[in-house]
Amino acid sequence: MTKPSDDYASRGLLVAATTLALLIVVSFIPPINAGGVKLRRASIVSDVVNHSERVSQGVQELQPEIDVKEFEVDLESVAEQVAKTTATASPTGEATSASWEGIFDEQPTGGDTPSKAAPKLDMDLEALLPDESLLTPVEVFGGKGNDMELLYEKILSGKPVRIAFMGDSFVEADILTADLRELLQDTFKGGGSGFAPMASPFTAYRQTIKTTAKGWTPYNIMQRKSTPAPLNGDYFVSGWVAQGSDGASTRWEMTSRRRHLTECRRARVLFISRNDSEIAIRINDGEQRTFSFTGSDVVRQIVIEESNISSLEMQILSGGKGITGYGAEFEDIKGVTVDNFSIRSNNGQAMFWTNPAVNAQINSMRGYDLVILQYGLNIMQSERKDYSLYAQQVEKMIRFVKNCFPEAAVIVMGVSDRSERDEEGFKPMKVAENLSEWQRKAAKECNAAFWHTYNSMQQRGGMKSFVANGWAGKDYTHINYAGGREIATGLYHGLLYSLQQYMLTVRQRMIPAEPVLDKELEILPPELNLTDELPAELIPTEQTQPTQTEE
Amino acid sequence: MTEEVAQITEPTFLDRITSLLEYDASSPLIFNSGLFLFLFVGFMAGYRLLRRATSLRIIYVILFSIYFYYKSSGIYFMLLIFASVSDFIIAHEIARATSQRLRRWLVAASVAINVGMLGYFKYTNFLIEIANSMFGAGFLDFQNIFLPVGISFFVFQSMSYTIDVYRGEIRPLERWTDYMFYLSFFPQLVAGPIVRAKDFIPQIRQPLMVTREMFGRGIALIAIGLVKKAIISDYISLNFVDRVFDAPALYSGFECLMGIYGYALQIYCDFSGYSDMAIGIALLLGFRFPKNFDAPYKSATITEFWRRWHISLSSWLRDYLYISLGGNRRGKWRTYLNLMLTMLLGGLWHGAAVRFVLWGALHGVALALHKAWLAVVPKAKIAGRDMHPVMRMLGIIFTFHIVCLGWLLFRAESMQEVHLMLYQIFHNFNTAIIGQVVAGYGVIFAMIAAGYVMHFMPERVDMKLSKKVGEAGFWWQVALLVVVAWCVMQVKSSDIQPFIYFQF
Repeated sequence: MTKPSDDYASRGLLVAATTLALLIVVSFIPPINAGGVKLRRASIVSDVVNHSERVSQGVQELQPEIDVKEFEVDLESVAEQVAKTTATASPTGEATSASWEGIFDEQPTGGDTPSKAAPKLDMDLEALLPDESLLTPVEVFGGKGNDMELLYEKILSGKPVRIAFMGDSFVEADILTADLRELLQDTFKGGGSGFAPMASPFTAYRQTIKTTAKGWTPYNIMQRKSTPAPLNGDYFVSGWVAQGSDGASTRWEMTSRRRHLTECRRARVLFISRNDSEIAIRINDGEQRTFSFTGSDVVRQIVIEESNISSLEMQILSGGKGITGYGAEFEDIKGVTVDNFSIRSNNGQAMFWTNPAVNAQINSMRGYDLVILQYGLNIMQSERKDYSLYAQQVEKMIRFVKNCFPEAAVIVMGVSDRSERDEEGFKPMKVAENLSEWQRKAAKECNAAFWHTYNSMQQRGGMKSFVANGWAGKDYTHINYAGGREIATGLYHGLLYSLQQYMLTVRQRMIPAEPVLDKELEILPPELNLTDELPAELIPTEQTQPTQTEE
Repeated sequence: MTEEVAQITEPTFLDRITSLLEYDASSPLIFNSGLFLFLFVGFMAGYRLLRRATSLRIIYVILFSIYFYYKSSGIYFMLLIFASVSDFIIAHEIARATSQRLRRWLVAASVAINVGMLGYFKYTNFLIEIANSMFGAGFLDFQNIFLPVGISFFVFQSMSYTIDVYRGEIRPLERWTDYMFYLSFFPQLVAGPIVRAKDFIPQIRQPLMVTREMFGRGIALIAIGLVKKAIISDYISLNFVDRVFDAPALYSGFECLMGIYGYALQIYCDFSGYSDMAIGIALLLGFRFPKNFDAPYKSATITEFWRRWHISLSSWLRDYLYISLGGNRRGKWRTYLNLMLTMLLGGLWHGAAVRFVLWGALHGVALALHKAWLAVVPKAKIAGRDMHPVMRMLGIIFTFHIVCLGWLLFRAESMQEVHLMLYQIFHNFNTAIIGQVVAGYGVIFAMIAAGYVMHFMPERVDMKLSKKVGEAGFWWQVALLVVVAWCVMQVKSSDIQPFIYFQF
């Protein structure tokens, strides 16, 4: 059949209309799961017709929740190892610490000054808090005298506070922690970028400190099986160890990418020297000093205290083969320090592969006051609602942390928001709420604290908005520095709010008359009696009974 | 009370349709959307009906085009009308003017109005940023200026008209509606190609006629364009390319290099795919547009690349900017300078940011060096087809990498990012993980490979496909479009590729 060639002008309309009609019909074919291949509904009318997919999608096969074997840990043996370590700081009797003391206006002490100052309960935090719609408080469990209260007391007394932020790729390269640190240092003083590994392939990405490492072979805890001995037994919660060599060096340079980072007053280089060794330390590209160590399995530190440290270089002069390098810590002699310990693909189990004795030794040098656990992103499955097995592991993580860092309070961060996609576009992964609830339960069970990350992200528009605003990557899972700033702000506000509640409670106790409670106090457990923790001079002499009303 | 109730009621079917049809800057009307197909079918019915009523049909198309523009830019469709009125009048005045001086003033006025519009809407904040970096932050306040969609395209089209009238190459149009039809014609309105007045105007009042060859080519181009834009480009950018550029340090050098190759394909597929759809739709309406992309990565020299890449823009820049600057008529050094200036401004045309200027600068330098090379080596050729096959192959590889370096500058948000990408490629390539990466990103690498294979296919394959589509029966043509549209929708709603770590 031949047609006059100009007839094709009408054919455009016919082809377009028929295509449209067929596509409308196709829109009503429900999603098909054929032999593992998931075919979505192809709906040309999804803008105006609701297909209510969730109902028709059917139950998909669930993957196992976790591989429990990965999370095996004997907490009793951990406790024993820690106890042994703390009883004898150096089993061989070697000095674990060498120091470089500079000239100061106010003299630091190497360790923390035992502050006798009373907590400043009149600190005005109200102005720092956001509108209620952007506030997700840190939930504190554990009643009277819980660890968070001890932390708040330290903060308000002006004692140095050290925070270990343990997480996965979500916070890699100091994302989120860079801003949490800055905000906390703005409010409670302090400086320095916290812990920086000796050597790792990812140092280039970190903005808050510049690391140049030469001559080291770095190993990551997720590859512990291919890490050679004895390094495979040396892991600290940082997740990185580096095998030294003679001449190996690392130079850390402070940056100005956040406030309070350009200079710090104390640095601490952490390593093990199994053989006799000599290590040179040079600060600010000027003065250099050499430190000698006799071989031992214990963790060593070189503490450098100077009025302004803007760069630090450590170099192994001899004994390099026996050196396991961890990294260096940069902090002020007071205020808040935040260490970023991020390990890719880690759901928290990596801490069980660390050496508890190493953790405890470093803790005895540093003293962590708060540990934040941010895990769970790789656990989520879009159809799974039950995370009870994982919750049990979270409890183990909290107990492990409490063993290694006995003075630290623990905050469990709920899993973050993540988007999934269907024909209507990007939607939040609803199971994040389920997982968060399981994580919260675990925190509650262990008297730890909990912060609802998902909720805070939803208050800021959720992952879809994070991507649209350029705060997160196109995998709709990982945030970038800008997104980290948003979540850090949320967590900072959550902490401030919880601190404010603590202050209110304590103040309330000190007012004997007018038994009227602020509305916010209702969230506190009724049995809470904080006066036990208060310095004597703050406890009113007349009446110390908790003020409670039935209103 | 009733108000409260009204607020919480679910929007009705009609409400949804109304809101879908209203101006929404965040969802412009694009060819690969469902809404466009609905509107296009409606439009085609009217277009068919007014087939023989030329003037009415012209007004009908103008109204549809204005709506098309309104959907993404709201009230700024007035700008389009303003440009068409002003240049319509100016062109007439140029033709009427008796003195060369007056003609020169008039064409200058047209250029000033067009460039002024473009400058105000597109570059004000860029200039403020430059001023602030020179005189300190806060020297000038940033302005809240809306960027009307497609302004860079229609302003260039309009200038081609007045300049051609001034040069005596075309006569001014009798009817304003004809001019408005040319300027606002929806297929090329928002993303080109930049159709020249002298190519388009003769077609306006010709009897509506779509030959079988035009129809087949049109359907084939729409299908190819959809595959390029809505399947390849959208998928690889979301699931791979954007991530690498967002955080190069998280990826090995191999992944970074693949990110750049992926971006080269993505930008080509995105841009040329949309152009293909525009040309295809115009063909179904009986209009022929010149070719806009001619397999640019087949170029064996950078000069050849600019004859194959975004041809409507490069030829516009050549005819109206390079030649106006003096072209190659004023000596060797002036020629190089003109090339540099043309490419710098061409770079800036792509967007108000330093990175586009750097991209233009790279191409300017490359073109100038190639010109110098051609002068020094008389046997050197511009086009690959004139070369020995081995030379041609080497030329293609070399040119492709120069172009990729350009894309890196074009895409990276900062020089730090450029540096980081190059650092990863040259210092952290990590050959050991290549196998894992390719396996992990299987679908993406397959798509990138398929995209390049399609690209390097001989041109006759493309033409054969068009012919086949034209000759195919009605239902085959429909089936082709339905299948492609179905694939587009599957890709659009597919799972997001999760982040994979390969290096430790």
